[in-house]
Formats: sequence, structure tokens, C-alpha cells
Amino acid sequence: MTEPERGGPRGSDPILSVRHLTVRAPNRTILDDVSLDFEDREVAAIIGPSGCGKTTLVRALNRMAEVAPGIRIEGSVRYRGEEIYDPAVNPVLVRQRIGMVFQRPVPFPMSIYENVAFGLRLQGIDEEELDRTVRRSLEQAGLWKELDGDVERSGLTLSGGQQQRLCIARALAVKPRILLMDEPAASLDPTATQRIEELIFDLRKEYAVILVTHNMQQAARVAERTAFFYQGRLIEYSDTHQLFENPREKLTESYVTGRFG
Amino acid sequence: MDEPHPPGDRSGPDRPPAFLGPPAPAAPAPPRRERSLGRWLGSPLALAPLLLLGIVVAVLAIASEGQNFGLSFWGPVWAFNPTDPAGSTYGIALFALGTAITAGAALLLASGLSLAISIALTVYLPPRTSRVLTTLTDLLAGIPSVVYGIWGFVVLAPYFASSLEPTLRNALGWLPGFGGPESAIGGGSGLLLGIFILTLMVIPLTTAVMRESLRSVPRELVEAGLALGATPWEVVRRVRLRVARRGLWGAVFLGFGRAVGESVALAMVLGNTVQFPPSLYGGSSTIASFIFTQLDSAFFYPELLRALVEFALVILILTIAFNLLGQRAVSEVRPRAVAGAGGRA
Repeated sequence: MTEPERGGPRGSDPILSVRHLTVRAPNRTILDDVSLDFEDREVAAIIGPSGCGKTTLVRALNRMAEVAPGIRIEGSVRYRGEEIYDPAVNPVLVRQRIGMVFQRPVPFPMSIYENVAFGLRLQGIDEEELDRTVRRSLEQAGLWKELDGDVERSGLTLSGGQQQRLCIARALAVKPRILLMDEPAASLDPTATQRIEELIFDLRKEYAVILVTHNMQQAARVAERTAFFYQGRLIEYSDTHQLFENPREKLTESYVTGRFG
Repeated sequence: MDEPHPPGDRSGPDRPPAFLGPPAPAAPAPPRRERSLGRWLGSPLALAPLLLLGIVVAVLAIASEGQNFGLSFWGPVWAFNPTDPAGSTYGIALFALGTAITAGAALLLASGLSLAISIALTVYLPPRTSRVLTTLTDLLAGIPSVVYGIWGFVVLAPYFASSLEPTLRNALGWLPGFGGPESAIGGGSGLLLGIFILTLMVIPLTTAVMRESLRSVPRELVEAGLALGATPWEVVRRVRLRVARRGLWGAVFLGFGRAVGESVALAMVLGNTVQFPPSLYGGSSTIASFIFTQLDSAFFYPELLRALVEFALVILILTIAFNLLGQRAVSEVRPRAVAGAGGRA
């Protein structure tokens, strides 16, 4: 298998392609006509002030937005060319391909092993394969060594940062192609945050990562591309470097220079 | 000996230095005066229910004069079938059996139904429908037990006698308790009707507690399950039920405490026979219903009265035990209005 060539023309073969996505809650529009592409094996950051729709955007990318009552979604999201909002598509399969890590670390009240095995057991994977995948996922998340092989203790006994990496391992175990991360370090201390950022940096070798963050330094550190959202609209989407150094839009400039936030 | 570690140096590379932690909370303000006064007053007040309970137990124990209890259940005078209703040969075993059958079967049925109802209410039904049905089930808890009893006696008993029980006997006659001769089916009063009524009476309580336990499952956990590719039903089975487990057991215990103490409605539909029930169609008595039905004659037979007081003591201890178990289990559930879950004796 050959690695797809990097640095070629953008947008030639996006892994996820969003077109005219509009998300409405009962009395307001959360996302307004958003179109953008995400590339495979890249980290894309979504930034913007609170309430700009960044969380809703990632939740709409793996059909989690519709879990909340009263949400209406229009437009198109294509995963490798396949429409995920097609009525014939089972949202369960979408979520297996497009994993998600939440803002607060939320391990299930079970052992570390069972936490990671959760998604696999749903797919009826046999024990041997299960053992291998659990171990590999914990290794990927940088937890295996720290745990010293003790995967039978409760996931709730871990520290906050370890819990979040457990949640990442849990998401990786299902073997998604895309990982959506909704402010994964928001509730963590700086050291744990740094570990998560290093992990995200590593993950790009195998996954497309879409990272929501309110922390512009974080976006600058880990993301190749950054999208700036304001009041439900996509204002600017470009190379992270360019967006921070030389934004095209006035609004982006005032946000990244800290004039509002 | 090794050099002792300096106290501040806890090794471990990824432990964040202390100064990076959250800022230490400001020193707590000294407690205000009325608050400490409230605490001072509060502690003896908090003991009041305990004291009251102690008094009740003591009065019951004294009133029973240690008459039968120790002897009649375990001792030589233990009698499964008391031959002398006015005498001192009352054993509690027969009535305990009645209580165990009715409360046990009712709880089995009520737990299953309540679980189904609360899953439907919290997961599957649209919010508005769920709110209406929640109110309705809570309202059921407020119906006095006499009403259940008279409804069972007047409306259900004839139906049980004429169609349900013969049908059951034909269909399930091979099961122990469901068979027996045709003459076993009487006027409809009996264990089956008692179990049915008791189930209805317990359902509002168990449903309320189960529902709130399921509702208190953090949304994040549910979403985490869905995001891993679980179907809503898989999330119910593998996340919601698991996380709410303690509260669900609490509901069963609380329901059992409630069922053990029910007297009036059961006295009206159970047939009140003092016998080993030949089948589910036969009559029976529970500890509580026996107290209720024998109270007036007991005034003429001091031994019977004392035995009944002891029965009451047994029920008291049973209900307290089950309620404590239930409350301990439920205490972890996020406190939210459990309307109508109070229950009456």
C-alpha cells in the first residue's frame, strides 16, 4: 500500500466534504450554510468564540447532532464521496467510521479494558482480536506503558488526563478513519494538555483529525489547517500559518489578535 | 538507611508541579452564627425520628410480652396450621409464606414492567408524551389502597373466577401452582388476584425510582456510547442499565418494603384463609392482612392480640430493613423530584 502523496493540490480527494450545511435548533440557526473540505491524515482546527457553532459542526459530521431533540439539519456531508445524511445510511455505521472524543473525559464505569473493548464488543469481535486491539489502542493513546499492563482496574481511577487518553483509545479501537475532538483538553491541566497535543500530532499519521478548540495557541501548535467560525458562519479556512499570520478577513484578524473572544 | 525524601518531592515525571494546579480556594468565611445554632438544634432534631422508632419498637415489644414470637416460629409450639385461633399456637410461618408469595411475585412482575416503562419514558418516547405519562404514573401512586381493594373485589374477582383463572388452569396447569382440580377456583379472591392488585400498587413507586435512576445517567456517557457506534438499544443495555444499576435495585427494595406492609387492599382480595395455599387460585393471608382482619376479635383474646403485635413488629423490621437497603442504593441517584414515591402503608 502506498501512502497517498502529500502536498498535492488541495481538495482533490477530501476525506470529508461539507456542502451548504445548515443546522437549526427550534428558535435559532446554529450553523448557516457552511461548506468546507477536510483532508485525510491532517489535523484541522476549528476555532471561534463561544456559541459560534464549532461544537455543532463536529457533531453534525458524525450524525451526533441529531441526537438532541429539535435539531434540523440541511445540506450535505460526504465521507469519501458517500452522503452520510442519505436516508439509507445507518448513523451507527457513520459513527464507526468517524469517531468522537468529548470535552469532558467520560470513561464508562467499567474496567479500562472494557472501556476500550466497548465499541468492539458491539461488533462481535472475538476475544483474541479483542485483546490485540485493546492493547494496540492503549499503546496508540500512550496509556499502555503508564498502566503497566493493569487494565482490569476501573477507568474512573485514572487521572483526568489519563481518562481523556482512555477515551481516545476507546474511540481508536473502533478503527475510525476520522477522529472528531471537541475541546479534548478543555478540562485538563497544562501537562496533561501537552500530552494530548503530542498525541494528536502523532495521530495524523493514520487519521484525519478535526479538532475544536478555543485555544488559538493549541490550533497553531497542532493543526495544518484552521477554520474560523463566527456566529454560525465559516469566515475563513486556510493554512493555519496563513490564518494566524496573514488573515484575509478583518473579522479573523481581530479574533486572532485577541480583540474579541 | 536511605536518605529520606524531602517531603515536597513526590517523584513522577508527569505529575504537574503544584503551582500549576487550580488556585487554592480562599479561606472559608467563618460560619455565621445562626448556621451553627441551626446545627446545634439540628442534631437532636435529627435524632428524633430514631427516638420515635425506638419508642415504637419498645412499645410493640412490651405489648407482645414476648408472648409467641420466639416460640411460635422456631420453638416446639411452632404450628403451621393453627388449630386454635384463640390460643397461643400461632406460628408466623404460614403468614410469612403468604407475604413472601404475594410480595415476591408482585415485585417480580412490577420490576419487569417498571423497567420497561421507565426505559420507554426516558429513551424512546418523545419528551411531551413522556411528561404526560410520567404525571399519570405518579398519580397512580396517590390512589388509596382501599380503592384498589374494592375495585379488585367488585370488578376483577368475578372476571378472574369466570375467565382468567380457568384459562390459566387449562394453559399452564402443568406448572406448579397453576394446576389443581377445578374446584380449586373459587370466587376469584385469592393469591392470583392479590398478586395482581399488589403489582399495580407497587408499580408507581418502582417506576418513579427506576425512571429517575435512568434519567440521572449522564448524557455524556450516553453520547459516548452512541459515538462508538452503539444503537440506542445497545446504549440502554450496556450503558444506561449498567450505570443506573444501583438505583434500579433500590427501586426493587423500596417496592418490596412497600409490598410487605400492604394490608387493606390485600385483606379485601386475598380470601383471608389460614391455610397452606393449594394453588395460586386459593386464598391466603399475609402478615399485614392478618393483623388487619383479626384486630376486632383479638380484643377478646389477649394471646391473639399479643401475637398480632408481634406480627406488627416483624413487619416494621422488614419494611425498615428494605427501605434502608433501597435508600442506600438510591442515595447515589441525583436527587430530583420523585413525585408520589412516598407510598402509604
